[in-house]
Amino acid sequence: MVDQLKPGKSIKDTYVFDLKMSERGMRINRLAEWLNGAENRDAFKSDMDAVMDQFELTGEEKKLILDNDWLNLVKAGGNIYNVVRIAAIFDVGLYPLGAQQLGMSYEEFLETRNEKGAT
Amino acid sequence: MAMIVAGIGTSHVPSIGAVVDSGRQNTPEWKPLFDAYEPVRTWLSDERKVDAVIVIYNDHACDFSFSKYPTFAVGAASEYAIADEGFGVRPLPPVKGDLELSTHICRHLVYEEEFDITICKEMAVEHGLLVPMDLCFPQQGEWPVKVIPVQVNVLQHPIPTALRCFKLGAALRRAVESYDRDVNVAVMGTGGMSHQLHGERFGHLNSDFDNWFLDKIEADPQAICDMTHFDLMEQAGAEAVELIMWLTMRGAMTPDAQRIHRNYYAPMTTGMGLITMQDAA
Repeated sequence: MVDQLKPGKSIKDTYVFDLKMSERGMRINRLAEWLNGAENRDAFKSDMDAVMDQFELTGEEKKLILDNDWLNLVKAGGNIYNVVRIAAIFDVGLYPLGAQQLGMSYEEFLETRNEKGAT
Repeated sequence: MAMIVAGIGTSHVPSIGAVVDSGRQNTPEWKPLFDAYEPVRTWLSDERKVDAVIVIYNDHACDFSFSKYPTFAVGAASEYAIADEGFGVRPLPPVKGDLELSTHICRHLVYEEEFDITICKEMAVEHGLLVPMDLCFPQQGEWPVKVIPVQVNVLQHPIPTALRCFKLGAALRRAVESYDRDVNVAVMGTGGMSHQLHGERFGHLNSDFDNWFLDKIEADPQAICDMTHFDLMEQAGAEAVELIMWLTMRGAMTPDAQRIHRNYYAPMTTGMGLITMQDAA
């Protein structure tokens, strides 16, 4: 069998979303997928602790969300598209979320782009 | 008899949908992208006279969840709702299906091709499908063509191999060609090009790779079929592995199909590519 993910090799700064990551991030991902509806988003905004308890998030996972620690949410198994959904609740868009993962300010990140107006 | 009249490979970057909704297609930042699709739209509607399009796309944990994430899912409905991806529902009419053609494709894939797909009587569609529609078949109150959605898991590994995606395209071609109604069908492979959205490698772009890919998808798709997911992700970024869906389009075209349009634009975090093809006369 050709292993498509080359076991033993890794891509720098990359956390491939495989079944191991999916298992680790199951609680985060279930919560985020539940945010695909306006009523659920409102419920989450009005009582985050209650919703995080409902999805049985660990204390550490709750803290990552409340701290808006996007990079570590990814490392905790949050699929990036689900992390984007959670960030949107805090009015954080994809590019500021990305800048934070890089340890840059949003403005610094934009300077690295070919056409920074195309947001 | 139904025929494959066009193949399209295109990115499905979600910000494009937001630009369409706010009417910013002609700003200096976005004009280079939208201008490239103008001749494509005319070609598809006036010359190729497309009636229906098979859209190969991935759902981004929106209508499907990782709890149950089908590897290949085909829509078999007469209408598909617009999904809420976590940011509200875009102001678009529901996508029209072709139930009869979908049903034929599902039967053909399962009985003749041993592609045991998940068949969806209900499917809400999101940017993976809608952005390519915005670009190639824009709605004006209603969509101009019917859609057969084909969803591929490219998010939760193990995902199908590049070669398997190519073979699905060949199977879809045989499905279309064994359908006895006169329908002009386009096949659209979507996603990519280079981008990585997660981790400290956020913003990774590789325009050299993207242009190599555009060369190969046209003239030597086997070179892409031979790549592992690791190789693709290493070159083009982890989220760029969705480019394997372009191979399904290519597999649906003849080996000597001709390229008609090609464009590349990489303004922010994702290489936005376009290629169109038609079978040699």
